[in-house]
Amino acid sequence: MDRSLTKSLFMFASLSVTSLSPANGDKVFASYCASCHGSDGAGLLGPNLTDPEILHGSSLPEIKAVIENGVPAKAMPAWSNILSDDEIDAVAKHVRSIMGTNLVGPNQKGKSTVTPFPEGTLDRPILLRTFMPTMGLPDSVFTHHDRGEATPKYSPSTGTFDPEETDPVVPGVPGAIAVNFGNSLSYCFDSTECRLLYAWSGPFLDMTNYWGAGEGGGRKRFAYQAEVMGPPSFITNGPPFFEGTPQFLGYKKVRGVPSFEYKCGELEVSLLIEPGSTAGEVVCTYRTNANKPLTVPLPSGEEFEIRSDQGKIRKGTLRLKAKQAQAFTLTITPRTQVR
Amino acid sequence: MKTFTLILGLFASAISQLSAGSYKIEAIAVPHYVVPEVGGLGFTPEGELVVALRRHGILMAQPSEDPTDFPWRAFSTDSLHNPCGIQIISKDEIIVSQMPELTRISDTDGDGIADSYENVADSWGVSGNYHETNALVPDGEGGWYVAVGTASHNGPTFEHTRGTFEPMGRIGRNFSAVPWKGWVVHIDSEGNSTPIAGGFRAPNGIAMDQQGHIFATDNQGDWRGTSPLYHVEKGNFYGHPSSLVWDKEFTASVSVNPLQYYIDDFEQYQEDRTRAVIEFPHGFICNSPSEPHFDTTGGSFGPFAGQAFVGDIAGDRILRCMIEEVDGVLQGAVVKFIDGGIGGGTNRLAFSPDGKSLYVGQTYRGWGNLAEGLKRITFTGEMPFDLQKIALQPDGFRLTFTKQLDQESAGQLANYSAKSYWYKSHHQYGSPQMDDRELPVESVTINGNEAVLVIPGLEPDRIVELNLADTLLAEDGTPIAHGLICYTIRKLKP
Ligand code: HEC
Repeated sequence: MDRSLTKSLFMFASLSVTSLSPANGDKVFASYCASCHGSDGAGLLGPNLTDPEILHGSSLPEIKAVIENGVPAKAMPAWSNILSDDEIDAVAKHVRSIMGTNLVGPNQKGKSTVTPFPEGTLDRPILLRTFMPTMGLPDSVFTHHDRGEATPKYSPSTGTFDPEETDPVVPGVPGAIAVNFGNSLSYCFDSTECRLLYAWSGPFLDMTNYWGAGEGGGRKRFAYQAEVMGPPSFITNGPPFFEGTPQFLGYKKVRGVPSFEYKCGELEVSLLIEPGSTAGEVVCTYRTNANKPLTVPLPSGEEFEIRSDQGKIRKGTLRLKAKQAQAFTLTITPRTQVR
Repeated sequence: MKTFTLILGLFASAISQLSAGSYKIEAIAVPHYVVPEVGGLGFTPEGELVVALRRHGILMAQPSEDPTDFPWRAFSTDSLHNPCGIQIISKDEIIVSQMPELTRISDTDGDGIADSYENVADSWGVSGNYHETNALVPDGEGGWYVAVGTASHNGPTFEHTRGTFEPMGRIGRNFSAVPWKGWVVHIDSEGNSTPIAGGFRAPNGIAMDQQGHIFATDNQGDWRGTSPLYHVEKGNFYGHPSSLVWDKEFTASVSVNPLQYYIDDFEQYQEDRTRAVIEFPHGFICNSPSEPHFDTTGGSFGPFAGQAFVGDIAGDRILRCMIEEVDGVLQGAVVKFIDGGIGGGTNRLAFSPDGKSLYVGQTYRGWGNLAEGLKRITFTGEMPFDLQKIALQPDGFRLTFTKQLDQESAGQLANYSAKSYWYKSHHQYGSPQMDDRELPVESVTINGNEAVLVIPGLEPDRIVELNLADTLLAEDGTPIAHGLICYTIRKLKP
């Protein structure tokens, strides 16, 4: 279980403390456990909890212990920092009460292996278009977006506006495309700015906010936004690479790998983004119709290093002759890997 | 109110058994690795069924008689962003409208798997709100009409929006913070966009009839007393104000705050808005209409050729719309086609190439009760006894049935009752039935399969609800299958 997921679960938890009465073990289960154990507890990503005996012990104290401490090696989170003692007690009792009901889980009946945790592989990357988090991207990256504003809160029943309360805006990438090659690389490309926004390694996305848990139940959360599960290896910054308003033309699959096509003014670009040799390393292959030299302002940061197979990098700017600008490859290596 | 619904419920299940002989409903099995949340449905010219899913790309299968044994294959496994509209050009080329764009998805190397995803048009903004759905219909000339939905206050807008952010459009319950939310946008074959009509709220379905009229459904809510079916014509305003922030003429000469303007002046609102062809009374007729789908089967699917079927996302039924032209406007009636037995979530419809079956794609996409999947309704060839056609008369209605009428029961006035009411579209959510009045059915004249009802006192801008008792029989003794008929009068018959 990585930090960002735990954190978001935690945020969710602190929001709901007031609304969940401790006695409602079933509600705690529905909110925190159903995404992995299924809404009826019959298993999804996590094991079926309706068997008469379970692996980590079937007594109430043993169940409480496994809920409190989790099974870090096997993706069962530790709940002691997230749920209150009363909630852990209630949900443990709920687990105890469904044990022995012997439900046939979806995995057993071969019915559905669908989870909110989509996964690709090196040979078969997967692509998702969805709302993505901004991961703290600086405003300067959103040059071709407009700025949302909080507006006065409206009461539909009276048709009036609240003098103080507002509907806030939240961070998010509206036109994102997320791609995953398994644990080695995931990244987020933006179809509005036409640029790679960030990359990470490890698990891909938690889609529960948008897809809901497994096959059913509560498929709605306010933000409907994917959650990045792995630690970021690269987050971009700085001005756009190319001048002119970007226009996204689409993408083509080259051996299953998306190659993004876009225009910036007269410049036509295709960009293929692939995993490098180490986890989180990103290899960006650009093809353009450049007929004059290009200077490309590169993102800067302590956390990653950018190399180009063409031209020269001086003071964070890549200078390419026309010929070089037609085909060049940037490799972005996370410094943590180098260390 | 509770008992009323309960009685209707019982009535409904009894009725659905009556028409069960004419239409068979089957559930179609999808691969176990797929959640069947259907956003787009259709057939290739070769007869393969195409299903666009919310989170598992696009599946195809040549239908088999056994509904559990379709040979599924994946045309695309890319998870599109809420695909809600589809046009199937060939087995290699499919157009999909998704949240950020209209996309042409093609298999260019003939291996059966899509490898090109071309952005055809993205002229609308994206505010970061889940509710902004896009349904499409081909214009018949290589282009499309896309019905762009507004955002919901149940979701946020982003700090950084795609497209211009307009604070005056952001206010309200459902809102239009970025361009063309709440508009029907025309996109020509070159990808050039022209917004043609605003005022929509959640138009989850747009279709064209065989005469080339465009229709869109919309969903009950703010500025929607009950859910309508609209005839979409260029330049009209369809009643939900937020989208008018993108109408330069309106903001320049009327008000920069269309929401407030129409909250303040209801009379002007009534004058400015275009009325529905049919209003679907909320609750007992429909909760959340989806795509209207015209019967182009020429009779292979039963006696309703040319009529529109409309699914209910949040109700176990499919509706049937009978539309006529009266004094220059389109208007008509809704009855239930399937009342119980199909399940909730009906979102998309498609006729099989032989016209005998209607495929039903279901989803609940985050609201309503969990209801999703793929179904198939097949006409058995056994004629149902149902209303086939309705025509407004200066003082009543002419009803045409699918079967010859039983002279005795059909001649009894007690088998008919009528009332009328209207729904108030305003800033508040939904509307109660307003000014509910009984209407006298003065006489009935039977001729073969026709009944002419004389009902004086009809008025425009009201719904007339006719109730035919289930003691109304066909000549062969069959009771009427669906006796609840709601006709929306925009214009009286001159
Ligand atoms: C992110 C997925 C995930 C979530 C969320 C999750 N679990 Fe688990 N859980 C697992 C996995 C995976 C295992 C199996 C660990 C193993 O194999 O040792 C597990 C194991 C367990 C076990 C022990 C089962 C056994 O066979 O001994 C219990 C009890 C349990 N979880 C309860 C809960 C409760 C209660 C919650 C909610 C408070 C919860 N889990 C939330 C993934 C999850």
